[in-house]
Amino acid sequence: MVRRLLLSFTLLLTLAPIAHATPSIALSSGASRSFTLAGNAISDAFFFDAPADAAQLRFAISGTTDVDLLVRYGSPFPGTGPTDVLSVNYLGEGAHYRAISAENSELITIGRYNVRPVRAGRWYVVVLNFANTPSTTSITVTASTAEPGALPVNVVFDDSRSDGFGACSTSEWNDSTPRSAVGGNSGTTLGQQRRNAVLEAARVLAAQLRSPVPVRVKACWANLCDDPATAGDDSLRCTATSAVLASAGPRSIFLRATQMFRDDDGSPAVAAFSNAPFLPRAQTFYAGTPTTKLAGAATCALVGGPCDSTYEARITFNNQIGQATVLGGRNWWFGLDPQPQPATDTDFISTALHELTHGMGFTSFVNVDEEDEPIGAKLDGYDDIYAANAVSVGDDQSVRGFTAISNAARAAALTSISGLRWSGAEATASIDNVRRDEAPPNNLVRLFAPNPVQPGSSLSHVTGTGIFAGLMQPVISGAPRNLGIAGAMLGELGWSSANTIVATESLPRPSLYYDRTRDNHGISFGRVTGNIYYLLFYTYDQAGNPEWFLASGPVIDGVFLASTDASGRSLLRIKFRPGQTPETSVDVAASGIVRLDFNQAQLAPACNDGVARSTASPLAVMTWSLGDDIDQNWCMESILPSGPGTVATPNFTGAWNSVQSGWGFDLASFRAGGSNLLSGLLFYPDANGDGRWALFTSSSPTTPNALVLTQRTGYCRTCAAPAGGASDQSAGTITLNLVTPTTDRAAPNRANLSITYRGPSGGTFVRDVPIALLTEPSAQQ
Amino acid sequence: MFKRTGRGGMLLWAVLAAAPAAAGSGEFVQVESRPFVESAAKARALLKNQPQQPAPSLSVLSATIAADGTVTTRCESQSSPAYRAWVEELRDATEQER
Repeated sequence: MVRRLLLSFTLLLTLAPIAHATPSIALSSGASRSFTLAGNAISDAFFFDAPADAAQLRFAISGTTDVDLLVRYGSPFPGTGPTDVLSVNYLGEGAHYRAISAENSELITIGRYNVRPVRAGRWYVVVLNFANTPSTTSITVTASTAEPGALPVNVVFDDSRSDGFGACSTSEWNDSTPRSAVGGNSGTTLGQQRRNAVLEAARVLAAQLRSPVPVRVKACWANLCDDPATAGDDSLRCTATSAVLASAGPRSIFLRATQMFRDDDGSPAVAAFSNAPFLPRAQTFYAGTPTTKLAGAATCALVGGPCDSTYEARITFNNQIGQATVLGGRNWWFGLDPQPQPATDTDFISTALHELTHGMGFTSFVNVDEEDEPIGAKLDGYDDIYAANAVSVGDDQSVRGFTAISNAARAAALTSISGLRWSGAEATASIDNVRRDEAPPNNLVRLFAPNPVQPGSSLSHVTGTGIFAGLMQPVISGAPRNLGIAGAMLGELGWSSANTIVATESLPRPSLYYDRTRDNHGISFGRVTGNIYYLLFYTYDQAGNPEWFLASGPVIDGVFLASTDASGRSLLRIKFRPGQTPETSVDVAASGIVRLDFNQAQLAPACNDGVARSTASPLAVMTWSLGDDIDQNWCMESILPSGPGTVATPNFTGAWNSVQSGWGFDLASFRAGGSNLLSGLLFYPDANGDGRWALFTSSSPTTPNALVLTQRTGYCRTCAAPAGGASDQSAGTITLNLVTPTTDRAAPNRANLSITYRGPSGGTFVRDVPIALLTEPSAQQ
Repeated sequence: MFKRTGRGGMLLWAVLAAAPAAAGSGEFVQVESRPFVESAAKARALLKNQPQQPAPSLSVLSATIAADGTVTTRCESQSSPAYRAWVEELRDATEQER
C-alpha cells in the first residue's frame, strides 16, 4: 500500500493506511548477527520477539564506524513503509529508546520498570550509519530474567577538563602523602584514602538504588572558598567558623515534550532527539541520573556525545578544608567507619553521600531564590519530578498538587513550615516514615518549608519530627550515613524498579479543538482511516484575515506525527490553481510544521496555566511553527459536547469534500436543547487561490435551507487576543442537502454554495456538486 | 515519509549485495541499506551533540562551628555556571534570530 502525502488539500486525496516494510530478519536471544550497512544509510531489517518471561532486554550494536541504535516496541517505526523515504528525524520521533552516542558501540538495557517495559511481543530495531563509509556492524539482543542489581556508580577521578561546572582539580586524588590506615580506610596515601572514601559513599548510595545502566560521577577538588560561583554569597565563603565543604548536582536534565527549533538552513524542525519519550511523566523535567535507568542508556547515548567526557553527575570537594584559617583547621575524616566521638574532623563520607544523593536527582528545580525568578516559579514553566511529588496541605487539611497551583500559592506553601509534604506512595508507606500509620494527610513526609524561604534548602530536603529523616535534612548535626526516608523518595524520582502498568492506548477523539486563550482560532481533527488523521488549522494572518493550513499523518503513541513534504513542512498552506494540473500546490514559504500531543497534556505549561478547561475529552498540546513563529504551544480542548444526549442522529460530523481538490468543509453535528444542530467551516480559495474560511450553522441539518456563510475577521496567531475577539460579516450562502453520512460518493449528498471573499484579494467561489465524507463517518469512530 | 519518485536516483533504496565474510561477529546476514532524506551533515547535526540542558542548580554543603563548638552542616543551592551559560546562549540565539 502506498501512503500518500497530502500535497494538495485532500479533502481531496485518498489516504491509505501506512504501509510498513516488514522487517525481515528475526534476532534470537544471545545470537549475534553481523552485516554491512552502507554509509549514510539506515537499516530497519531487524526485529526481536521477546518471550513472556523476559525481565530484561539488552540491545547491543558495534560497528566499524559511529553506528547508532533506535528501538521501538509493538509496531514498526512510522515512516518506514516500502515506498517511504526515510527521515532520520521522523525515525527519532518514533523511537521508544535510542542510543546515539559518538562511539562505535551502543547499548540499551531495559526492564519491566521502563515506561515501555519489557514484555512479550515484537521489538523493532533501526541501525543508523552516519559515516560516509560502510560499517561492518554486529547486533545482539539478549533476553534474560535478570532483575536490576545495585546501581553501578563509576567515579571518575582523572578528568580535569572543563565542563562548565567550575574548576576541577584531580591531583588531590593522587596525593602521595603517606597516611596510616584510619577507621577502616586502608589507603596508604592521602590520595588513596580520599578515593576510598568517595567510593564508599558511592557504594552506600548504590546499594539503595537498582539499575543496569552505570552512572558516571565526575569527582573533583577545587578551592570552593574562592569559587566565583559562590563568592557572591557571603554565607558560602570560608571563615574560621564556617566553610563550604562540597557541591554536587546532576549534570543535565531531560524533558518529554515536543519541541521545535529552526535548523541551520532556517527550516522549522522537530527536536526529535532532544525529546525523552522514555520518561514516565510527560511535560516534566527529570534529573539526568535517573533518566539513564528510564532510558536504558547512558547520557552520552541520549544526547549524541562522546562517552568519555559525558557524566551524569559531578561532585566537587573543597581543597581548602584542613587549612588553619578555614573552619578552625578542622580536617576531613576519611575513615570508612564513623569517627570516634567527640568528633574533631568533618566526615567525608557523610558529606559525599549527602551531595551525591542530590546528584541522583533529589532536588527540585522550582525557584526558591528571590534574586532569580519569583519564588515558586517553575523552570521554563515545566514541572519537575521532585516538585510533582510534593503537595501543599492547607490549614483545613486540603491537599493540592504543588505543581498544579499558582506561583503565589507555591510560594506560600514553601514558607508554610509544615504544609509542604511528599505525596509519593512509596515514601509514605516506607518504614522510614514513622507517620505512615497516621490518617492522611498527616502521614505524608514533611519537606523543609521555613519562613522565610531558604534558597536551596527549602523544598529539596526533608524535615519534621517523627520522621526518620536521615541524611537529607537541610541542617545536620553529627554525620549520618543513612539515607533514611530519602531512599524511598528516590524511587519516586525515577529510580523505582516496580513493574510498569501499561495503559491501553486509544486513538484520539475526532472533533473540533481550540485553545480557549486563543479563541476564534482552532483545528478540525478527523480520522481518515486506521490511525491516519488529518488536521486543518483555521486561523488568521497578521492582518486578521482568515487563512488555513492542512496536515495529515498517523497518530503514533498518542502523538499526531504530521507527515512532511519534500521541503520538510507538514503544516501546509495550499494554493488553489484552477485549470492547472494539479489544481493545488503547496506554498512552501508560508507552510510550517505541527504536532498534536495527547500524552498527559494537562501537565504542559500551555495547559497548566490556571485557565479552567473542559475535561470532557482529553486535552492536547498543539506545537506548531509557521513563518517567524517557532515552537508555539497551544492547549487544545474539544469544542464538541460529549456525553449522553449530545450525539446527533444522523451524525454528519467530519470533513466533507467534492472530487475537486482545494476546497471542502468540516461539519460538527451534535444535540443540544433537544435539537439536532450543525456547525460548519467552509474552506475555499480567494481570487489569488489562497485558502480562506467561513462559518455557518443550521438548526435543521437534514433540511436543505440556504445557510448564511459568515466571514470572521480575527487576530493573528501570536497577537494578544483583543477584547471582543472578532468581527463578522456575511459573505454568501451554502445549501446542504445531507442525506446520509458516508464516504460513498454515489450517495445523494450535495452542496450548493456561493461565497465572495470580503478581503483585499476578493474573489467569488461558486459550486453546486455532490459531496462525501473524507473522514470516517462518526458512527464508526 | 516521502513518496518514492522512481527507480534510480537519490530516493531509491540502496541494496548492498556484497559483504565481507570475515567482518563483524556472529552469523553474517545481508541487509537492505536505506538512505535517509536529510543530508549526511544535517542528519549528523540532528543526532550528534544535542544541546545538553544543564541542571539549573548545584547543591552546596557548608559547615559551621557554633560558639559552643557544635558543628552543623547546612545545605543550600546555587545556580550552576553551566546553566547560566546555557541561558546566555539561548538569549543570544534568540536575539540573533530577531
